[in-house]
Amino acid sequence: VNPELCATLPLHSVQLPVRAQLLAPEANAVDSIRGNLDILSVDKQHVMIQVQGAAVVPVSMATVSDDRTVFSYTKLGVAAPDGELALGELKPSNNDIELGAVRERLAFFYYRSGSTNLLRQTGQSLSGIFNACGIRLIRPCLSLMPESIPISSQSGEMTPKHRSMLSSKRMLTPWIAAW
Amino acid sequence: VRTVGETLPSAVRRQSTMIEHMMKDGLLDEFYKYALGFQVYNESLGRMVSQFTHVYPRAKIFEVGAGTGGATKFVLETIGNTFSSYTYTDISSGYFEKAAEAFSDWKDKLIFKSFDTERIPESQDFQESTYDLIIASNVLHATESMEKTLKNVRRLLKPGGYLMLLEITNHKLAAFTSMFGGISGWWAGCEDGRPYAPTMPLEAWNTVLRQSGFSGVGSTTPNRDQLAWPFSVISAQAVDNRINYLRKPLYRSSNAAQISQLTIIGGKSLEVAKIAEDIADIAGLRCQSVDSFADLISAQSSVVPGQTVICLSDLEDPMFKSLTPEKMDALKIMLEHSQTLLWVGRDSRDHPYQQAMVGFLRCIIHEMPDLSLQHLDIASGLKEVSTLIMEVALRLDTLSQWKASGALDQQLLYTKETELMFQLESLYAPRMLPDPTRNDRMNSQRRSVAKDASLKSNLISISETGSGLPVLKDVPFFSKGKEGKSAMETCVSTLSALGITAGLYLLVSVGLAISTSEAVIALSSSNSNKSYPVVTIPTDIPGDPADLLSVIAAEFMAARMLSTVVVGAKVLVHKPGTGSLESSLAQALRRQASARKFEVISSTSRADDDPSWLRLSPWMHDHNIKRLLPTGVTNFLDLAIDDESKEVSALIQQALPSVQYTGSKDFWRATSSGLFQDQEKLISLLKNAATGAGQHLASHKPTELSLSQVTDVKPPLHPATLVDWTAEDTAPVIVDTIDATHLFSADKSYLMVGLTGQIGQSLCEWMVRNGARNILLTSRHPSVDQKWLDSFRAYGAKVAVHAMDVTSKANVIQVVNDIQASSPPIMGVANAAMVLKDTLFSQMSYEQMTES
Repeated sequence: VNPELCATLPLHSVQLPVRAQLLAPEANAVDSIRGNLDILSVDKQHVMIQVQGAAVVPVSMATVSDDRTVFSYTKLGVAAPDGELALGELKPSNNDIELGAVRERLAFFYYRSGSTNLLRQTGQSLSGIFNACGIRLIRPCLSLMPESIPISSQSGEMTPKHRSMLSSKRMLTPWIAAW
Repeated sequence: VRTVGETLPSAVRRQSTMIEHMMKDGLLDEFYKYALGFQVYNESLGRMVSQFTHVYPRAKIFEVGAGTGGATKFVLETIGNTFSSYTYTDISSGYFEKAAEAFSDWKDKLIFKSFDTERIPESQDFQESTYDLIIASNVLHATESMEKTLKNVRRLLKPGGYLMLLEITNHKLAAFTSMFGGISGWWAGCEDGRPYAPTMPLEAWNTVLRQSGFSGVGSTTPNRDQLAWPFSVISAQAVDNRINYLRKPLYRSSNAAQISQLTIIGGKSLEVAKIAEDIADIAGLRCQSVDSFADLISAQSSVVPGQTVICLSDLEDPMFKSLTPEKMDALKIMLEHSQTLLWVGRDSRDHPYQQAMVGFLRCIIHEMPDLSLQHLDIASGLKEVSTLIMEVALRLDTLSQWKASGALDQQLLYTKETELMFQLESLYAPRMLPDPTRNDRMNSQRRSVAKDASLKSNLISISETGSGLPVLKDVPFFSKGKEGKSAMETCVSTLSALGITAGLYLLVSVGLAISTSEAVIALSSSNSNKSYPVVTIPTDIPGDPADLLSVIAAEFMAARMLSTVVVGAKVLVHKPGTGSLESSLAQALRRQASARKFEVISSTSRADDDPSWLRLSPWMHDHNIKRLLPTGVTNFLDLAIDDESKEVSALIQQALPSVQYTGSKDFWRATSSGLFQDQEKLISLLKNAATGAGQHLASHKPTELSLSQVTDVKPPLHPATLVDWTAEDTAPVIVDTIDATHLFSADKSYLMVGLTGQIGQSLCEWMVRNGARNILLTSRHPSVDQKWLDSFRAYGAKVAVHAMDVTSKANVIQVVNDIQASSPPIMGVANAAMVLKDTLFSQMSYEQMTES
């Protein structure tokens, strides 16, 4: 500020020439608009007030709700839900497949050890709640077996048919092993 | 299985309940989210829900038996915010508090309410026919009567709405019964035909769904392994008479009037003629009168007002490929007199003339609101499409009749699509979605936009905030800059730029050359996951790249620090590091000093540093400091970062007034700077550092920050702190605005078409500010102020104006030849040419159409 020059101003209002520059925003300068401003004397020969780097700051910062949606794209999607596309090409890994078989086998292991313990401790054979559960558990598994093939031979030994089933039908492996 | 197996006896003896064993340590919760196959099917459910929300982005969703939110998590994370409301229900309200916390991102749209599927919804304060989608993941099976439960669920849905189930559909598995058999709910279906397990196979679901007001199993995930993945995600649509008709319009009757007049257009080629014949045969059963015409022109003479039209002519002869005044008139007549029009095109996305019709019809929809219009794009061959086309036409016709008669009230969930695409036996509907990447980039000019960016697909760079703290930015372009040669993927880098030579600060990093996948040590000017380094040398030093880099960085810093020191000097180094870093830098300093015959003394203000270092405290009297300092010190290297050390270094400076002082800002900076001209010298420096490092690999683990730690960093940080770019897949970044400084080349030309007006001139000024020096502005009738053109001389830029009609090929070739003769090669073209003569199609002349 040049106070002497300012003091020469008349008491009534006058138009003063102004020289201003708006500065190009710096990258990521989201918070202000910057510029330089000179207020000159009436004859433009002297600078009365010189402001460098004046920053105009918004009263409140822009938020998500002030965002503009200018760009868009068209996406095609199935018109009705589609299970094949929802699962895609995913397949269980070998580890998953093995784990699935082991899980079945474990289930039979605990079933068998549970029923044996019960028999030993209570003297009741497959009675009460466990009895009910047990029958429920075994029947559907038996229903997986082709009816023409006996579960085991009279002696309890595995027949050659069993062995071939064990190798060919993975589904049956765990429960036969548990049996 | 084990938890249940081992605790079953105690549960059977009523010493405990099974559920408490199963819930212990969140086991059951984890089971439902991540047990074998669960995650895959939870994600599939999420994807199926997102298929639905694509079509209905403002759906009201209802989840039954949400429990701890095992499925909700996957659903909400997949669909984001594309829904109106999500009613989160369970029979018990005990889960809601935790769920509200877990899903707080969606808190405005979540409604928590208890709901029992075995009771009628109205009796529980729910309104009938309110919801668009109901999700039930592993829950519905726990019921005494599946039919009753499904009927209750059906009451909540609008007709046309969907039920999506995730269920175990291999009911013969022993594992699930052994796991859940201890819970009474597992046996709830005993009297409901499900005695062994409450779960059901798909065929049973299909039957009971059909009995309960659903379409049956509408679509389901394919079975991939019955033991490991015994699940299915099932979708079923809630049906009434209207929906049943819309699902199979050829086999059901609607309450709407039959099509009185069907006109089929197209069939000049054998392929299309066959399709038209088939459609006519099928339509004969459903319509009162069917007429076929080979093309539009022959069809216009026998137009029946209110007719329904299936137009196949674009399949053989696209309208806009060979538009004639006659064809245009015929199209006008057709549009004006038809009630319903199905326009069939093929492979529109790949064929501009076909796509032009799609765009044209988009305008017509607004110009003729009474016309029921749809474009069907056939994208996978024309084999056996006649039935499809007829079905689509029937739906379109019926929907427009329903709409007219008010039958399409609020209680039907169905959309009348204006465009459909048929590909690989599925119909697809287009939706316009915001493009978040571009919008974020633009909005970053107005506010600081933060997001999580993937390191695989984004360019992420560490730069500095005004306050000196590092910040991660998502950079718009991967540019070579001036120095770049071959690109590198960074494994580990220094956090700060290290002083390499006087005035030159660069980032040191170890990474993989992208073209050869070779390990390299690099000096770069940017600190990012991918960069074009200034120089690289290959390395074959085995082991952790961070260990290697920490020693190389120490070697670099030591070399730079001692570079100005002369033989015979005695150097005092204050605070050569903290923690494990001290060893690398202090050792490198000692090694290089003894090789070059200097003496190095280290000092510190901390008690826990190396005991051989001089210990000085900020509380000491200056007299004592003077006494402790060795005599004959010639150079003082001040590496203090923290406040306490800085106080001590001020005391040392006072005590050694005549000694040459070098401060840390000469050794490292937050970002790179300086000119690098002598690449040979940089390579030899890099090789020296690598050789030195190879012999003295770090015995201490260096301080390494992952990217998320970088943003949380609190100063002071030692400059040799390393950044591990491989520890995380995503990083929290600030979206960077576009810095156009490197966007344009001074030695290339840019052609701006139809851009001589204000927008073009403004663009031109911006391009010149950002480096463009040869710009040609063109339009048909340019009128540009010569003074404005001359103003660019000050920048050394040449901006010229040419008259050019971009619709005339010869004219364009001539202008391009002119540019090639007189200017550098054309690097970029911007096109904004268009003719705007606003008029309705019904009043548009052929000339107006072809001109624009």
